[in-house]
Amino acid sequence: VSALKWVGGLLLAWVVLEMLKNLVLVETATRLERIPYAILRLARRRLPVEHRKTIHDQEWLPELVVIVRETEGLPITRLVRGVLYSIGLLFVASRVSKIRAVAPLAPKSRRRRKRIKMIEALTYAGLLAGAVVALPWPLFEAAALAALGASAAMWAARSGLTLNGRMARFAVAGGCNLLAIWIVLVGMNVEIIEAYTLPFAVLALAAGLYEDRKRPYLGSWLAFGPGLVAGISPSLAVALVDQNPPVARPTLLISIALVVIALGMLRQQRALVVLGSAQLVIAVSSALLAAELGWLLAVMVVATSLLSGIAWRLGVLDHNLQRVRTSLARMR
Amino acid sequence: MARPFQITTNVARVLRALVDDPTGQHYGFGLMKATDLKSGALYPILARLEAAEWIEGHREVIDETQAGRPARRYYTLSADGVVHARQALAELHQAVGYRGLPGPPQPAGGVT
Repeated sequence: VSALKWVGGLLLAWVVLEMLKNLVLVETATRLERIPYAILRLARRRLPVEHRKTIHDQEWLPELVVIVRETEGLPITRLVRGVLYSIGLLFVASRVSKIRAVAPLAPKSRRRRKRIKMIEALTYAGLLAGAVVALPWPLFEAAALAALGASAAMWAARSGLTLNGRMARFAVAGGCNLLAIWIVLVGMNVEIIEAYTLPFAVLALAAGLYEDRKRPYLGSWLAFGPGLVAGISPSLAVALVDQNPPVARPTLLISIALVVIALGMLRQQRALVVLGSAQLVIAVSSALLAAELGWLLAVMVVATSLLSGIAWRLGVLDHNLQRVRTSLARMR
Repeated sequence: MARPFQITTNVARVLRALVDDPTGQHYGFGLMKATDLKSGALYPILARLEAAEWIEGHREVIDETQAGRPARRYYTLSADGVVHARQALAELHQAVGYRGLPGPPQPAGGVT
């Protein structure tokens, strides 16, 4: 009986050991498989935010997946190939992004550039002539200016421009649209201007999303900035000046600001977060001032300053703690 | 005509692989195998070629769920790129005095 117990015990121990061995093997294999991806994530962090999607997500990562898949069943080969691929990219990430950043500015043939410039100039000239002719009729004038703005925005988004050229065209686009909105508002004696400006802001947001997807090299400021500023600033300006605003104004402005911030946080677009926050601050401040709740505004400003100060101090402390930890680790 | 980049040995290897199949779709991993270059050497070259508009980058059109992998990016030689690449390779051959592959080695001192 005792011999049987021994055999049974040994069998049980063998089964448990086998199970443990398999678990350790699977655990190790899974963790090893993650190493190339972890290195590639480090390479991703070395890329500027605006290039991470096009360079890492759409090019490097899919290739790594293929490399890993091709060596299925060969864990060591897979690890070596994956790690070599990722490490190579880790060292050249910033160089590739710099070359890519210049890519949209690549010189085109002289004749082609001349032709494009001439077409652009003719477009502006035609639309400007239309705007001059439409001067006596405010609505037509606004339409002509909006068309001019839209045309400048389209030209600004094309590849092969210098940064200054692009900024200038976007400025013209934003200015023309702002002027067009102002003419509509004054010419039609509009009571609630948000009925006109906010749909424009939503349109600008949609256009920005499209541009960001199609031309990621623009960056969030150029893709969203001019449209949003042109769409929102008239409302904000009126909100700051108007002593008796309609109830709908602060609600609409705050709602759209929150949508813009949420979108910016989801898509990690700095321009959206900054513009949305600025709009939110202005809208909330003007609403509080209009409701004679200036004291509440003062409390909010003080609380925000205090919280920012605490967050900054904690950040410094955390940084110092990390430095101490690193120094201690080096001593061992 | 001045080129936007130097034609180094590695660039020439990539151009050779591209010119060998001028209408084909070239993926990063495939080019790494064809040129025997590491990723760290290949991708800056591809970025330069794309910046100079010799090659064009495209995204694969696949059903990612069905394929079980993300869509890859592939490159094709542009119309100008084919001409420039062939010209660059020809100039390189001329510069090194390339006249086809050398014959079998001759014994030193000749045959007695």
